[in-house]
Amino acid sequence: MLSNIAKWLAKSCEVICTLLLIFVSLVNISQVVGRYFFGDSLPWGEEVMRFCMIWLMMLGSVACVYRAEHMAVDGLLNIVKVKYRRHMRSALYSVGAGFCLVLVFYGWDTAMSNRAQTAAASGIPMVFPYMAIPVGGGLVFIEIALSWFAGFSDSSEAQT
Amino acid sequence: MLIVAILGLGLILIGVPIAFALGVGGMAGIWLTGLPLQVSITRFFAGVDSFVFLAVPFYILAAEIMNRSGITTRLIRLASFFTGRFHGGTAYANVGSSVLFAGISGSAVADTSALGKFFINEMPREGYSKEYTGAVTVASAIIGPIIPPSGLAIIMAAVTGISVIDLFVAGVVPGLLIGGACLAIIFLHGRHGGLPKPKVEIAKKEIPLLVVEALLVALLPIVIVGGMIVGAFTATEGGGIAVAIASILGVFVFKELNLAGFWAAVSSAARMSASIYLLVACAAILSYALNLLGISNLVSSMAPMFESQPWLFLLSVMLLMLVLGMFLDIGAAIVIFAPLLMPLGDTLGIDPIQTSIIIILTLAVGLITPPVGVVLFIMMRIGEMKMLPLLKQLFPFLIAELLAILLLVFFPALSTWLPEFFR
Amino acid sequence: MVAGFGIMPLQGWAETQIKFGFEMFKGDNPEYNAVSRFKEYVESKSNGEISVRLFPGGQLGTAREMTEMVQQGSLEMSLPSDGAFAGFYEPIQAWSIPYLFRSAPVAWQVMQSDFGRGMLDDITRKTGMEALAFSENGFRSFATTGKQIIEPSDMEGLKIRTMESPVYMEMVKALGASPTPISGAEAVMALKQGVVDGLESPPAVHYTGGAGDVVDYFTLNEHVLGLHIVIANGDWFNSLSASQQQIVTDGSKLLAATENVQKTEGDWKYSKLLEEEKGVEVHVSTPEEKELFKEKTQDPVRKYIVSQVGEEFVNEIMKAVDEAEQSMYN
Ligand code: NA
Ligand code: NA
Repeated sequence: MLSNIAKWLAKSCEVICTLLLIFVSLVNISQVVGRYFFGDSLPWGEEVMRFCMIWLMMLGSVACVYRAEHMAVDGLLNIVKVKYRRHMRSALYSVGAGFCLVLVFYGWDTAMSNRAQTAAASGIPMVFPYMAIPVGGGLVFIEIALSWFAGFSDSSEAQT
Repeated sequence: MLIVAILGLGLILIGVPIAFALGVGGMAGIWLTGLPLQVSITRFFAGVDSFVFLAVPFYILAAEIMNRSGITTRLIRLASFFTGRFHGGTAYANVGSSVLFAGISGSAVADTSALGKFFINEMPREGYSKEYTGAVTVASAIIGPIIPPSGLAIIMAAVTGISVIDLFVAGVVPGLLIGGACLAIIFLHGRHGGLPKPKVEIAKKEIPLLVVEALLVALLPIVIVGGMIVGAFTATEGGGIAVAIASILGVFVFKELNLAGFWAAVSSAARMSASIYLLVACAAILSYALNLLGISNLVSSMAPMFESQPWLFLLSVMLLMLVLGMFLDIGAAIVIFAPLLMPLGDTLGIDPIQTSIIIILTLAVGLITPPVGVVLFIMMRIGEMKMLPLLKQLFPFLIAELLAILLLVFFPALSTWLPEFFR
Repeated sequence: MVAGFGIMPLQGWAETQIKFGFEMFKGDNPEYNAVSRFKEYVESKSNGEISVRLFPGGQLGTAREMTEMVQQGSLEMSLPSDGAFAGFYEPIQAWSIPYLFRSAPVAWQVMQSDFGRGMLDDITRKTGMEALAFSENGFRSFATTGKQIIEPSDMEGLKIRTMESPVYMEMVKALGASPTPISGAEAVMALKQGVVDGLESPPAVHYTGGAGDVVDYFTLNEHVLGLHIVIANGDWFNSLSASQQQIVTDGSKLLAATENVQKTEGDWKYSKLLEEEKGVEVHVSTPEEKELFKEKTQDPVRKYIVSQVGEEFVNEIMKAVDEAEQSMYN
């Protein structure tokens, strides 16, 4: 049950990330095409791409937790007996969980205090990009917590 | 300040994901400066909210797409076409493929996984040992992030403010130099018939198609790097164009890229980008705190140690990076250390481009040194081989590559002349 | 909600320490000098009750980020430019109408006028940040590679880097050039690569920001007044005693006065430095040439600004300018 939730959360985040990257690539290509073939590029293009990448970073990090793909030095992990490795990894990731809590609390404050601020070129309220931090931080936290019960993806076990 | 550094490094060494370790260390640092912790959110955001850094996902994606679109096999056949007559021909072709592949991919990992599988099947059939094959493959794979485009160069540019284009152009000569070092070692092994002759057959009638396809593939780096040099587009936009060209080649020309392959490429590039982004965002908190705590004073107080001898400084940088590269992810090493080292180099009158190239090259070598060498690990997995025998074959290549880097330390023009020429 | 984290500064700072962050580097430049004046004034007038700690050179972040910090209370004071502040308070763009001010002293007078004071109050009401004073950030002018700009027609077809602000993009468009919004950090690089042919900034920024090393020509055409706003965190400011508030307010006025004078000096001082140290060919626009720029740009940009911030602010600032000019030049 819990492992299904962990998997479902990671997969959903991964799908959103993939769609985001496709969108960002299209905007980027349209910048060049627009400038050379239509003499004008989207003034909001760069900002939208930057903001999408912030969301991609946070949501992609959820998927990377599930797949244990965040870069780490594996020395200690390899010394631990295979059957405890999963929990050892959860423990190491839990340091990240503490970090995520800070992202959630202070990120929320930052997002809220920027409700009225708008981005220079696109006019997007800054609360949208900033919201990625508490939301993403919260999801990463949940994914790490779930890993204590559900472990990591099967492919990640092959790496240890 | 020391506490912060030790906390961050300690967490990294016990195996906490590097991004989180940097973030926790950074927050501790912010707290020490007396600023509210809230500030770390602004830094976390600002660390990656950058146009330069936006280039990263596009080059990763372009390489992922190319890996799945049949470009690799074309490159290998092209390289074999030139080296087919010589003893050790396929080993030369291995290096040659890496140089060509480096022109379209920004990472050594992509190179190893794309080319490694082919050569680990082919070369032992011709009579090479598995370990020798592995050694040639990984030794030349590190050219990937040196010859443009280069993921490491983008990260370097984002954290130091040097122009991406300058760093791209500056990597061409050093990349060829590393390739030359590998070729020289193979030549030494094979000059008295010590290495087998190739068995890859390329029929005469195949040649025209081969040339056309090769030109199409070669088009990619020429369009991208050339376009940046003449100012047609920025490095970030160049990444978008690389994605577009790679997709078009894969779908319409080589017809090997289908929807599932495309989705897998984007998805894997998205995850890779996310983890790099997170790393840089967290490192931004740490370096912000270290700056406020006065690390730049500490670093600049070290300047007299080098007695205004640039080579002494660069040599120390090389040693430091060699050690870091043995343990740390090399992107992380750049993010943490390049902004600290660069001003020191400046005060000694060293062109920041030279310092950057030395850092990038030495760290790239770190990809194939134990105990933590990502490319080494991938090769061991692909080739099902043990580390020690592989290292034994790799050793002469490593020495040759380090000698090549030494050349760059003592002859600044090798890295700075080309970017100046195009400026 | 965050109180649980217990942010206890180790250094045991006094409650009345002002952390003041701004973008310009430490050194003999108008911005740094002005903020230093503020520090000296406040520290001596308050008998050391209030101490001021300066964070120059954007150590704490960009102008936009520092404004955020002031709004949240992580930073007591800052000095954002109009461009960075527009995201927090749109009507600030009314100051960016091209050729609105005939000279710097007219602008100073408008800053002191009912309109100026009214807008400071309005900022305080709408953003929660205490807006203490306006000051001058120099007039913005064009620097280019390859081609000297004398008249508006010289700009046809050029690619000009602008701030990521639609007002400046509109203005460049009105001159027949194509605006390329690029962040400040990338601007010089884009110029070097030839992605753009020119950019627009006050001369001091061209000189210190590195553009001077890349461009061939500079035209002191002074199209838009750059504005600085002295801001403080609202809750913090209100927690001060009445006399402390007065000291901070007066210090801010001194800051503004210092910057006003030195930035105006900077217009020729840095133009000269560009010429002598960087080998840039400098052209000082004549009043007739400026009139040509004004004809091309003022109406379209004003219309755009009206569409953004409404008729009211624009009409009021035009009126304030008229009154100032009448009282000064009769
Ligand atoms: Na490359
Ligand atoms: Na290779």
